[in-house]
Amino acid sequence: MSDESTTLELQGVGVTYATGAAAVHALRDVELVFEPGEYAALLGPSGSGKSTLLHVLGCLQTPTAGRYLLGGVDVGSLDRAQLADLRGQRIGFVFQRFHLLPGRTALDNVAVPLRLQGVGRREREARARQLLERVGLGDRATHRPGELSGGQQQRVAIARALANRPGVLLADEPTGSLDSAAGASVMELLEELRGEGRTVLIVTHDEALASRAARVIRLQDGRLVSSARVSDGRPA
Amino acid sequence: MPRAIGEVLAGLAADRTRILVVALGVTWGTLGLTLLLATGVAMHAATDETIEVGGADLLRFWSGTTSRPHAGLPAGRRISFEVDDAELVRAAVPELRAASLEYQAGSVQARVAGRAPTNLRVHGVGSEFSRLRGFVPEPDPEHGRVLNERDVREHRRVAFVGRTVLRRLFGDVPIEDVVGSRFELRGQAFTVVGVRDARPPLGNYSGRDEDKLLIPETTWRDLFGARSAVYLIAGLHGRELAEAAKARVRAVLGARRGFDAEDTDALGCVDKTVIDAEVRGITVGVLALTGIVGVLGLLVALVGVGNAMFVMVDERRREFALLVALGARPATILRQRIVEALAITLLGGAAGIAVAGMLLFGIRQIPIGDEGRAYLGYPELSWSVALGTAVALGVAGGLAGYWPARRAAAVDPVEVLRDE
Ligand SMILES: Nc1ncnc2c1ncn2[C@@H]1O[C@H](COP(=O)(O)OP(=O)(O)OP(=O)(O)O)[C@@H](O)[C@H]1O
Ligand SMILES: [Mg+2]
Repeated sequence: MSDESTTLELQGVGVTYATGAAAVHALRDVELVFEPGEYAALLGPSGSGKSTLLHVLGCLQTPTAGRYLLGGVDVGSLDRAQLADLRGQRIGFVFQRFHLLPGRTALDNVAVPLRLQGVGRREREARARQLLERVGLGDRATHRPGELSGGQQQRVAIARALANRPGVLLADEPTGSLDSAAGASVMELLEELRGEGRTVLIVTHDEALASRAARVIRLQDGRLVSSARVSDGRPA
Repeated sequence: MPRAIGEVLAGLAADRTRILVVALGVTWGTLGLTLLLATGVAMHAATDETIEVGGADLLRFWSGTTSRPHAGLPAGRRISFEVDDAELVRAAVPELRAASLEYQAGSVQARVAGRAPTNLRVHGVGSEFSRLRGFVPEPDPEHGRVLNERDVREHRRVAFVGRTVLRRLFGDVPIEDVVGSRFELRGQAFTVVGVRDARPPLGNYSGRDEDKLLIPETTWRDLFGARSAVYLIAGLHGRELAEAAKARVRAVLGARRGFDAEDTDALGCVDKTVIDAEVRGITVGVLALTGIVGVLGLLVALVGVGNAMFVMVDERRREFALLVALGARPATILRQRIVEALAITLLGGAAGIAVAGMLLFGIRQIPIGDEGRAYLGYPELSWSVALGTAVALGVAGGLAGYWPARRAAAVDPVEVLRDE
């Protein structure tokens, strides 16, 4: 389904925050490659740099050391507008707190990335409707976020993340704000999205959820502890 | 229940109220600016016209008494104008474009057959007087003609009258009917050839112009004998020539009448260019003041727009951060915020201009009399005023929106969307 197969490559990536006197090393010397279509879970204690890594991969922030190549392009060499285009066209984000626009309907929310890429109104609505069907909310198109449950809101957010058929889907603790039942169904949905040539990377605290991923990345104090591929297929 | 965005953005409805309040502020500022500008411009134009109505670039000489001895003649001699003084100075003083004597006789009995007699002030004038002093008939409907050169040459018994004179002589009759009518002056039959228009002039002397009855100077002398003229009216080729012209007129008449060319008591002069300049200065001052006050008011309104934009941008930080994260270019966010500020400003401004237009219509209906109109004019929403206001609004709205817009475009999604 995704338009482009994208390889992600981190070469000696570091992110350092200069806060007052002490510098915080959120990421140190991270070497990682994601092949197109990988489904990976990102684990680590709080403050280990999971979100930072996800932001780097999603071109929301550029590394202060090393290089990040997205589909062969050095992200560090791009300006703000080019980074925005890259995010809009090749990356889908899912946040822990959904971040839907509260005044807009589910359909409008899903259509936002399409609008930002200049997709015409008709096509926008048709695609947004299709995506809502896909996440099982075809009958909720005109509902506003306040009228949806947390799990449903996160499904809308996932539909939005898929709007421009990105090659990379990044989710930062997508079940963190949900109860276990809703969380499980969201994870199920995310699992369904793998295997379409799309790279899916999910930050989670939940070892059980992580164990279902084909690859588990572990971070500790900003360092990569392991990045083993568990198996090539879906675990039994 | 997650309400991360909800909390911060709960204000789309609240924003609508804020936008309305800000737009109303701009409406108020624009209304003030437009009204002040329209009034100032009308006042300026009306006063300029009124200066012209009484005749611009004029010198009015009167004969007095010498204050110093000259060429063996003692001080204290009475100086008077002579019949050909107007021709004399016009020929000898190149700064002058025209000149006319003005004779005056007060309390002259006049009557129309079948009506009670009335006493009038009768002015004897040369053929150039009407043009110099702005005595013109209403052009539409035509109210006759002014006194001309032939009237003077042929000692005609014709009169050009002011409106008050007309009413006192003929009563309440249509002006068109009066032109060509006859009346008696000192027992002699006269014909009305024209009626002065109603506009009041700047700088009345010897009563109001509408109280005056003009007849040819030759006819006047036939009627009242060899009395001296009261004034010598001279028109300049340009207002900058006033001093030179005054000096030369005094030199020419001084040589002939025997008084010192510097003796301002022997030949006095009222320089209308000075009065005109003073009045013009006042209206320019008023115009500048109204402009400044109006612009200041608008600025205050626009500081409000800027402020409200900052507040709105801060409240919508999450929305902008999200849009940037989802692929909106910062430049697009910037542009949208500026457009937003412009839209609020122009919306409020358009309302202000519309209300101003209605108020000005009302103001024009207020009866303030000819005298008031002569200086206040008819304030209206001219294209120049509306355009000037619109440009001021556009520029200021853009400026008011620019810095908040930059703040909006600079949001860092990582910082704003961090999930605590
Ligand atoms: N803007 C910032 N300025 C300074 N330090 C920061 C900033 N953002 C993150 N950090 C620090 O970088 C480190 C990594 O943060 P990050 O948010 O990536 O951790 P995380 O693994 O996502 O944690 P959590 O599981 O709690 O979400 C932390 O020590 C954090 O305090
Ligand atoms: Mg995190």
